[in-house]
Amino acid sequence: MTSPLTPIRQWYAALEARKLAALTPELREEVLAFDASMRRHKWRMLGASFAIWMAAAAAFRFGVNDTGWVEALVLSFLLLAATGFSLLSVWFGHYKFRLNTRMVLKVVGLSVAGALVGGMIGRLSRRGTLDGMFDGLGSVGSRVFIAGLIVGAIYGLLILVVVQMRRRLLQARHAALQRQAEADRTARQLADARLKLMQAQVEPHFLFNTLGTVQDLAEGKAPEAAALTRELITFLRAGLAGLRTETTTLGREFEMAAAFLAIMKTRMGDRLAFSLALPDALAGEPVPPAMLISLVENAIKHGLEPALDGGSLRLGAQLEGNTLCIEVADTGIGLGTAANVASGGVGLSNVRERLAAIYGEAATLSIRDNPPHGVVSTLTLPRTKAIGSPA
Amino acid sequence: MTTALIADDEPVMLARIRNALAEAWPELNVVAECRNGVTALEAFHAHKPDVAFLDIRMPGKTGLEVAAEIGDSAHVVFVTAYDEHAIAAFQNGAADYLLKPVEVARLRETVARLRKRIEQQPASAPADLTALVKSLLEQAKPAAHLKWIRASVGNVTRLIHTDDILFFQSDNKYTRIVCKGADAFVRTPISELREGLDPERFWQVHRGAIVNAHNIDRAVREESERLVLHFKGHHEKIVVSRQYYPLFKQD
Repeated sequence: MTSPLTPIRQWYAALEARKLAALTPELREEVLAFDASMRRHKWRMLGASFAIWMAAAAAFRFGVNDTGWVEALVLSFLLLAATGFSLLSVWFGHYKFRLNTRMVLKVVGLSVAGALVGGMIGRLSRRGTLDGMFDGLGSVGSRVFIAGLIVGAIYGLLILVVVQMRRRLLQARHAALQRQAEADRTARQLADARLKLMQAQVEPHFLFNTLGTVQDLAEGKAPEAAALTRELITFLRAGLAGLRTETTTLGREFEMAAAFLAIMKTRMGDRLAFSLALPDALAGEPVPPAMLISLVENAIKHGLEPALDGGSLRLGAQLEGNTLCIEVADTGIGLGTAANVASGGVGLSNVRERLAAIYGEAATLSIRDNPPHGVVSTLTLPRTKAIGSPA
Repeated sequence: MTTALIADDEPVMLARIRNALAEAWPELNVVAECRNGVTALEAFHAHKPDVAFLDIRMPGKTGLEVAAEIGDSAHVVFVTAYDEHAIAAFQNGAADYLLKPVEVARLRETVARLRKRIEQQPASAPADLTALVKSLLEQAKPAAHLKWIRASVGNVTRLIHTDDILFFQSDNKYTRIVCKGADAFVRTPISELREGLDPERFWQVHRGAIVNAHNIDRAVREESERLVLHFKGHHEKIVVSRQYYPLFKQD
């Protein structure tokens, strides 16, 4: 048998679901948590409410002349319930409150209307008539009106204070969450970038081809075999060191690039020519590891290796004011085909992500055409910024 | 006499195949040695060799692309140091292949197989690798979405990373690309650009505008009920046309 309360329960459950669904996820969680805590402590809550009610009623009974117990109980209950519910709705519905003319008019209008209606009921019940209520300036009517204004103002102010408090609290929490998320993202990006770097280092195609060349040269007892092995060791060691440190020097980066280019020169033969120009004064400049090599690898892989006759590659660095500019220019196939553009960015995307994680907006990687064909990649790094501390 | 073509872009590896062949198949006449796919194909048409040893990674055309054009008019042997998909396919016996650096012992087995096919009466036709190669080339296709866009800024051509783009705006025959602090133009119409972009990130909000959702600062409903997008660190705004309002509906 269904209870007569069932339809009401169902209606309420549907209303609750609808209201909850309309809230933002954060707010919904808060409302549910509040609900759960009220349920958990229902006896304590009921007890506390009852005690407050009794205290307020006693205050009315003894503080205001001519008040009986019944009047005091009813009055204090209404006052407490109204205040409690308005505070709750302000707390959980803070986003609905905007301080504008409409809101002020609403609060003042409603409290004045309430006071007037209350005053009229009081007058009617005591005198049986409304006659004379609004006579003269000092009449009951105008006193009720003023009381309504004051109560409205007090309520309005209370709501405003609560809303402000609530907003500030939420803002602080939001900011903290955002900072946390930002820090997490930066850490993840750096870890991610390192992993990608490591994968690029031991790129199988590069390793197998290079080792194959080493084997062939060694079998033929060619003198280049030892040199090539040495370059490979230099390159791999520099790469591994780069994985472990946050910072290296431009000099070491150029050495690593030179080792890589020497390996590629042995393999590509007359298809590759290269030059490196690093001013002595800049060799000690601190830079993040393995960025230069990413640009060089990219130029070889997407610019020179696919070019029928190969081409040349030029590495340079210079200071422009307080900015360190590192340039890698190739005369390869350039940015020509769409396919090249789509796939060409693997190493470069990695560099961009790391730059953003380390320097924020202060560092740039720009890429442009190198007429008649080829690409110039330019890395600009701010010089003063300590490396390793995320912006 | 049996003729052959060798193609490898790296001179050391090319010499190694030549030397290994001289040892494993002294009677073979190597008619052409090529350093890229384009000259390899030209040499193939010029000499019509019986066998082609093709490196897979070569400039111009890859070994796979050259093999696709050769079809069944020669026996093809692929040579590679490392190509995951290709080697996996070849190991199933789909094609002859050699691993670099080429070893004479391993080459002898391949040579024996080839000679049997070429010298028996009647000679068996070379396998047509077109289908295999097509499926391998399909796998090697680059990522579907554009990451870098080639555009002109003033009179310089730049590569612009799609992350840096705030929005694309149609401008007669051109498309204007607006980034933080810079404007660029491409000749490609906006409708064509859209096909290459990642739809998760780039939303069309107007017939003539595509925006990078990651760089939207806020969507503001103005007094006139228009919905306007503001971007991070940029003063220009983009108006959303009514049909795209659902993109910005709060839920």
